[in-house]
Amino acid sequence: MTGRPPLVPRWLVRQLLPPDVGEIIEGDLEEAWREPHASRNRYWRLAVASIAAWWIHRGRGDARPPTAAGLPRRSDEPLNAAKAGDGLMRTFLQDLGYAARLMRRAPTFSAAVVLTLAVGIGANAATFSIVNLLTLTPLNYRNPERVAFLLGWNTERGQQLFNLPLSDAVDIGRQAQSLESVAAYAYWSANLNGGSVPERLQAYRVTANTFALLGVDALRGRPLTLDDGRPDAADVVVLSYGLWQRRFGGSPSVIGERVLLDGRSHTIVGVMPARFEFPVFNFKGDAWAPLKVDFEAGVPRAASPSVVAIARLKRDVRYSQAQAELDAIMHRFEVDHPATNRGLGVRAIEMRQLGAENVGPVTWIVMAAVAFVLLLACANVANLLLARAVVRERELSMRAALGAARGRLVRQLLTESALFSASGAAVGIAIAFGTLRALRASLPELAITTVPNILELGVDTPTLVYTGALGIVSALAFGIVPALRAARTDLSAALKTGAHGTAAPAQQRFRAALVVGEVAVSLVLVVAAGLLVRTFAGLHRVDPGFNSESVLTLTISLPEYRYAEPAQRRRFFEEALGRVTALAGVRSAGFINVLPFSTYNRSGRYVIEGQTPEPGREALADYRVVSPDYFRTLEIPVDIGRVFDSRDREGTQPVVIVNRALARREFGNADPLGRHLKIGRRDSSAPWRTIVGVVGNVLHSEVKGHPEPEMYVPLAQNPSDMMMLAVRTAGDPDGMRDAVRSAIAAVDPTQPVYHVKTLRGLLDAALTPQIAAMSMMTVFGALALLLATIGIYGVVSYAVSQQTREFGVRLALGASPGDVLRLVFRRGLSLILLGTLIGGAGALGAGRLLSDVLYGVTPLDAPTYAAGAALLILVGAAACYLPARRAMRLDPVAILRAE
Amino acid sequence: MAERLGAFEQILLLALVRLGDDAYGVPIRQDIERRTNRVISPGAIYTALDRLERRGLVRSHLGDPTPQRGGKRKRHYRLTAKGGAAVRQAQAALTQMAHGLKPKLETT
Repeated sequence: MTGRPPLVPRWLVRQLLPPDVGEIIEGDLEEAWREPHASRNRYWRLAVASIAAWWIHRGRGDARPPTAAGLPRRSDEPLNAAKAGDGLMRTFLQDLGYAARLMRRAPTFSAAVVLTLAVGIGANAATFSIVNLLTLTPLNYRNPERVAFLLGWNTERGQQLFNLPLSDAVDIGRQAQSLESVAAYAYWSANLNGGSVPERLQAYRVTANTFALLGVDALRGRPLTLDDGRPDAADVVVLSYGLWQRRFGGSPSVIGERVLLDGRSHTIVGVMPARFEFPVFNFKGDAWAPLKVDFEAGVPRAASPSVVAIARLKRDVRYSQAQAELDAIMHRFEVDHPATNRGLGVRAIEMRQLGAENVGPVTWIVMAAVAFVLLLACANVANLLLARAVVRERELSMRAALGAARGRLVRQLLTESALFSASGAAVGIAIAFGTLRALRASLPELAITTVPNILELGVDTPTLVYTGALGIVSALAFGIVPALRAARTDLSAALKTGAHGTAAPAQQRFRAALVVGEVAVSLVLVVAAGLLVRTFAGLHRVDPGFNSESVLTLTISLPEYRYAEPAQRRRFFEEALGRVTALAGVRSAGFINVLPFSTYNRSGRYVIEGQTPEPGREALADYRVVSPDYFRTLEIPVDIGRVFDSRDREGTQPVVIVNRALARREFGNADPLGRHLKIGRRDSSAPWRTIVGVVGNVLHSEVKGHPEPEMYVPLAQNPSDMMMLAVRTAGDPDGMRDAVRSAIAAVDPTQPVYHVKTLRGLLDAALTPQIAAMSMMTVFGALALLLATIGIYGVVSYAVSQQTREFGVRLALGASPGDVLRLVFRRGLSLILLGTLIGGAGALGAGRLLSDVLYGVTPLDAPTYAAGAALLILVGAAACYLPARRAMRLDPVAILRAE
Repeated sequence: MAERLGAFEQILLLALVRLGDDAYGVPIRQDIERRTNRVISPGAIYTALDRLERRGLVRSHLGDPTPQRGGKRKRHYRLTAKGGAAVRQAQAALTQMAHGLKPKLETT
């Protein structure tokens, strides 16, 4: 092999072997590197095996103690040469070698310690990796901290609107001094044709400056540039890496090819890199085409489309400064254009932060919970080490008597802790790795399509660094007290007592305190988990206003180029309904423009006849377009009046159905039937619609939310292009997927359908954050319980072994085995009860912190506390039982004879 | 009392007999690898030789650094009289035990 041998193993040889040994072995390896069959692999093997061989050799005590080097002293050097080279590193290596030997000599003990730590550290590493991904991982843009959302904001209600009129976005971009540029995007559900199957894309129309604002370049070809946005520019499109791979097989010749998007030919000008994700916290785009805007001329306010605006802050501009300027600008718009801009503000938020805001307080609760699990693990390990310190007292005393300084002993013990901790961290990383990989494989679709960087979830560098830090902190946490105590023990006394070590009372008290603490912390976690489980159960029981069982849903978006006329769309939807309803196993079917929990929404302003709201102050309600059987299909109750029927056609009297919330808001207890309502602003030319019915409220986007006012108009009078189909089935809705798909394909084989899901699935997806938080807390609660049980068992068991003689005497003097049992239980249970009391107080505090995320259960929910306490006491009692039984069965004669 | 030798120790001592004065880590390892088809790490060789040296069966001295070794020194090993006796004895014992067994060993 030519070239230099691998650096890492050579470095290891130098670091981990004493210099005189290392030199000779390194020389041998150097020669081996020049042998004909040498390879990096072989070099590694020889180096690692050499180090291992030497450490084992030392570990067996084969090495000559005075040199500590393991290999024979150089015969040409004086006897005390090794002593002269005894630096800090050498001492550390000695300690490490000694620690490694001890670990091997007590494999069960070591495995218990390492596994306990691994569980605690692994759980923390995995949780950290998730939280880091959700809140801290930067977006893959240039200087992502300066990339912001400019979100619409209702200043009157203090409510986030998200969207903004394009006209405002463009005007802000022209006026704001604190912003480098402003871009905007709008969702475009494009149908891609050509090739075998029609596919519906998550496409976006973006202003042509978007890619420049983000500071990203294309992988192939080019991103969109300003010229692409001119009104007379040719139709071009930029593809995502994913679409390029799945639809075009990653072919490099795709640049310059033409594709049909919604029937129009677009030239592919670029492919973005795999890591490019835009937008974030919305469906990640498959393709981007220019939103053609004349920035110079601006966009007329009256007909401005609704967009999401983004901006790049100028260098060194703070978000508060940008916000102040935006407030002033929006205020000016409000004064100049009250009809369109009253009550409309803008909120600038760093793009990344929107995710952190969504995840909210749950993250920190989960992080705190998992930190407590590690704390419990450390307590258990400290406990184990203390128990062992008693056994090792004689050994340590001997070393002290032979002249070891106390500092040296403390260092030795801390090195042992460090070794345990490092092993625990290594196994913990393996646990985290496995957990995260399993998690990545089972991510919900909504998370994959909306959360930035989610597919990179795994053990990354920040996670490794965090784990390393955890390892050091925990080594100190569990190692320092046992180390200091061991070095402080009365050495001569320990030597005198002989082989049977007995714990000092102070140490017994410390271990008892550890158990009390463990029980307390576990109770806090168990109660917190219980509260979240009850919250989830409460959310699951919430009546959303419709029956979500046995309903299959899907979405259809009719392309403009084939369904430009309302009559064409009406015909499509009517025929599709007819075919689906005729299927065996279908009870009823209905269309709506946005299904509840579909993550989409539409809303609009309305005016009640006779009201004269100030321009721009018209009320808002959610806007729904439905086919007649929609209410029956979702089992939404009709309070008064009627639902739509065949009378409501194009050309007949326009009608509208409102929900209870709207009826109550506008009419109180008066009868709304027959009153007139116009959808749009006061001065709009939209027709007056007669209210023909009132239906029940429906929750739309949040299980925890309040029902919003809704207005429904008939599909026949307003055939939209994008509609969602709900199908109530007699049996399992999943079984009907193919039948429903082919029924629609029979109407138009080029028409893709997508988002095929059950209504129950949509509802569950809305609960994903709660489910995730609840599952994690439950796992942590269970881990805490397990660790506390082990801790209690360890302490009680140890106490029993220490009191063997006492029990023997008691039994000999006539105590019954039952008395002994009671004695052991009294000690164990008193610790557990004390811990439960303290933990109960702690849980009250934790419950208060949780109150924001709880639903349907108060933070003081007595049954949860009682159940948690009962569980801990029960499990604790079980942990006491085994050692108690051992004490009960002691043979007094044998014990006393042994004395 | 006769020195007991493990199998690997015998292999090492036999390698020293064969290699004579020039025996140090690399030729020893190469000889063993070639004849036994076992990959042996330098560490394993030196630790075993260290045990043998402490029992007085081998003797070692440091050699000079050479450029092929990246300027590192060698440690040369040589059998002592005691070591020679031990390996002879072990071989004799083996030969005695194996006497007449060749056909049997080859068929099983």
